[in-house]
Amino acid sequence: MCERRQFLTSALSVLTGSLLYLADGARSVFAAFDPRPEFASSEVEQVLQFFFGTSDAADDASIRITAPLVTENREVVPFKIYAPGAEKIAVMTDANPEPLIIAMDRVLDKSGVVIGRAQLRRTGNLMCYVMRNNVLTRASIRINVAGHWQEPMV
Amino acid sequence: MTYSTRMKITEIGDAHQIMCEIRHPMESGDRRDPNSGNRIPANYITQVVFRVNEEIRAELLLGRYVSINPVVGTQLDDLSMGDRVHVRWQDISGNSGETVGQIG
Repeated sequence: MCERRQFLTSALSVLTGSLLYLADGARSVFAAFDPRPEFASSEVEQVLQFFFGTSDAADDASIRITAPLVTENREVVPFKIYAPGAEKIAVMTDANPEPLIIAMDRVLDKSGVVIGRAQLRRTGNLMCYVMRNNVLTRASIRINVAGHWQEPMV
Repeated sequence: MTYSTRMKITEIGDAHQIMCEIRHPMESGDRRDPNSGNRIPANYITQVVFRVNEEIRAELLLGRYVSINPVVGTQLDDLSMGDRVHVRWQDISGNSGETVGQIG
């Protein structure tokens, strides 16, 4: 009888601990939740569908991305995008849990320039998707994150 | 917490590059406080709007993986001497800030 009680007590403790751990995880998910679907999506295809309404993109050599090819500071990765004639621009990466970094919704000037600084979790591609005349095009460069970085506590 | 916003306007050919530096923690919601171990709530800028003479010329939407103290910018065409450039940002916690500059 005593063993049964001990077993049940241990099982209850483990269950309670698991629930608390899961609750903390869930809280973090809600804390990080972005109400904008394009920013909350974890897949590039989904982001494209939400932001542009299509995910069929062709490569475009006219889009120019200026960014370091190797960085030792993944917290601050500067970039500059030139997409002349763009109507909408989205800057994404496959190095983060949520790909969309910056989007430009109303591009009223023909220069189509977006300047920013991103955080990258690891080595990955910096991708730029551009909508012009209802045609979606893209360009990307690979950014290598060098140095010894710890994964953030998640 | 106090936030500050600075703007730099540079003439590049026929266009003007508007760069904006915002002092902001840009917390993604992933980090934990090293002392307490508690998760630091997400607090990041979601929108930066560039206006010229009160007319919206560009709108940037930011996610949670933009760097701390972000520098964001764009290039605007057809600005002339005396035009008033107004940049306003807003974060997910409801804070906002703005700065105003003038061409010339």
